[in-house]
Amino acid sequence: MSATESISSCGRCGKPANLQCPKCVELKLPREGAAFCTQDCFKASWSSHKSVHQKAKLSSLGTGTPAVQNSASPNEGWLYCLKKGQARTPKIPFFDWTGTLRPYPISSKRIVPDHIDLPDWAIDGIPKIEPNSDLQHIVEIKTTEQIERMRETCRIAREVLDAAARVIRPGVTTDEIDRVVHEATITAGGYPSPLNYHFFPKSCCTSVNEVICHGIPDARKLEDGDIVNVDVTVYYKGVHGDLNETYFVGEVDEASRRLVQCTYECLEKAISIVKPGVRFREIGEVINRHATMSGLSVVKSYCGHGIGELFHCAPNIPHYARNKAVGVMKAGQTFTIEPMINTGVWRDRMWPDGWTAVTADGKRSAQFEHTLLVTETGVEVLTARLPSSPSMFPWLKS
Amino acid sequence: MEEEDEDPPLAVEINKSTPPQSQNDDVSVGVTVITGYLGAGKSTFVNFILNSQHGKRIAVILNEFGEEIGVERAMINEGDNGALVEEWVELANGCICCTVKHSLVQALEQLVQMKERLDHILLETTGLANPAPLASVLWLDDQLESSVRLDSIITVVDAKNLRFQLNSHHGSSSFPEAFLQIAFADVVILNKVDLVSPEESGGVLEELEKEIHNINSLANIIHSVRCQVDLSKILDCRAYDATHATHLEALLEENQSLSSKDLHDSNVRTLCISEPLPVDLDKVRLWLEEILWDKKYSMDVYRCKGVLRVLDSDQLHTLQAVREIYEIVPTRKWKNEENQMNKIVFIGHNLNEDALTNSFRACMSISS
Repeated sequence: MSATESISSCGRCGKPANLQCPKCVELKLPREGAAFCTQDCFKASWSSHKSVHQKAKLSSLGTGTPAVQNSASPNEGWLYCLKKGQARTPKIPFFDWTGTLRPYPISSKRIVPDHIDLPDWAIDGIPKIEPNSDLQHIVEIKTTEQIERMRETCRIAREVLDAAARVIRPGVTTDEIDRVVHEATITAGGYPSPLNYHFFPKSCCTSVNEVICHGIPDARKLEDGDIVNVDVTVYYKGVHGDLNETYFVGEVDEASRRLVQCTYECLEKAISIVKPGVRFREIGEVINRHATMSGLSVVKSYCGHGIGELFHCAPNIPHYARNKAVGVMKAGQTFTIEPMINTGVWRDRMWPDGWTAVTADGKRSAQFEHTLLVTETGVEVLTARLPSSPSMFPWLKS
Repeated sequence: MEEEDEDPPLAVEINKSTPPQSQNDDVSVGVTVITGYLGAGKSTFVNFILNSQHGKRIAVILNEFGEEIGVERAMINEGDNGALVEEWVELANGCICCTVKHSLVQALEQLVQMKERLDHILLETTGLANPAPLASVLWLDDQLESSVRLDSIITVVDAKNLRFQLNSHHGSSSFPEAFLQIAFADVVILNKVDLVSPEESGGVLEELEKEIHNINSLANIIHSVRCQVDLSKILDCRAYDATHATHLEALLEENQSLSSKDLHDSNVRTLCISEPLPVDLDKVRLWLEEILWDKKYSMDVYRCKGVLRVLDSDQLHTLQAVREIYEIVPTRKWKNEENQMNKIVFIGHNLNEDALTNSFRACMSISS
């Protein structure tokens, strides 16, 4: 928990204060002068106090500081996302934000040309086949033909992610990353699976700093020192390929570098035990061991998943230890492993948009993901880096 | 966008920084699943709990979806003055895909967070013949430190009609719901005992209890009239809590009477195996997985509970399984006066005693 803080005095009468201005909390302004002993004292101080908020907003305009970026002028008509993507609002929603990151307005829905094969949620946002499928209970053994299609689709997904990686730099918005992903996917003849999946408004997930996963691409510019995860899934020839990587924006601090490298290693170690006969349960043990040894924590709310003709299906693969996951790996199964590792606590919270998961303490989180195929003797990483993949990680020689 | 309201917003408490979800196991709210035929008195039971003055704040969730496990309406009794509050519980905002917790669990957690104090949650299952999927969804990993936990499964059966219900599909391929509901129950409320004719009531009720224990010898049977039961026997059972003592005591009792007496092979029954020598834990896991996951010997196991004497350990280990989900957990040190042994109870269909006993014995050998 946070360090103990000294007792505040009421900004109006000086008595011990137990209440604070919620707008100051939202804007992460100092508590001095913003603490009050009663709602009455707060009300009495309001007309003079509120100027603090105005000053804070004005001072951060155009400087690109972490507080508030000016996103109003270049993005006419862009709105904030609500209700999992089913609604929009012109005002930033109220929330007790856990860190300094805020949502920004999002752009309008991207077009998918007619010749692209669509999954059944593309039009109305509601998957129909997936929730009712037997594949939610039984782990599919893929046929040779299905495996070939998955190899091809996963390769395309890798190339799309690589295209996104190449544009990462300070000043680029996550919306621009989404545009690159969307266009690269369409050009390859695929559909960006996240688009309209349960109403998700964009074609990929971009998760910055304290966002654990499912961040929505928006008007916020990446800043020097940020870390950003880009999660891509492509639907092509009737199957999905899913992968994600966390990248550095400009120069990041030591703690962030260690976090991202450890997360990469967690995935690497997990993949190294994949082969027929290994229990799905074991993946969580391996990841947890490595993360804990590095003083980091493992997110427990989201898990790896089966993938193929369905975006998400059995098995569920938790990333934490002592889980009761059912089943053992068999040749021909395809699934993802996607550990999310946090600097601080493991708990997550949900933003008002209904998608963005953030760390409960506002500290940073990183993630890596691959789609894997269990082979007779081990594993094939279907979304592996290619010789053409850009060099993004200092610890990788290539 | 810059306009400030004339009136100030409501000031918030300082240091409200601990997220509400940081609750540990001790303060998690128990969830009881209630099954049974409509006519058996399920609604009467629910109404009894909602209306009686027990001083507890209990939420009753009515699951009206049948096949689909979802949450729609919650009825909460205010406890002290008995007033009923009906509210809508929205399905969780959480992402449905790749989440560890089912949306039902997320909805229940939201409910707990919304209410100042909730002592218990009852999940009343209309139209759900088989409680197993619900149990699987609610039996969470301890690691998740959820604010809700599966407390028990309670089946309400009708003393007057039970025998008819159990016999009604005899010979057909599928079981009457009553078998499954009793098989998965931790507590069976034998209701309407007053409707059983007084002259033969002693004999008849005994017979019914035998029938119920034949299916599930671990279930705790409670007689009732109009479902009026002592709530302390119903709530806080902790039937899925590996560390909870009461279940162990029943298992550790010397008598072998846990196996079903009457063997109708086509029916659901209880089988108990016991072996004195310590077992190799890795072998036990493989043995259990072959039975639960691979359906070895074509047995259909619904529930499994046991205590294990583990090689090179002074800890008594408990075993618990619902369908394919199982866990084996070290629970406590064996007491000096206890007779250390393995005792495992299976509730299911097509159970093969010889196969189970022999294959379990293989877990005892020191060399493989």
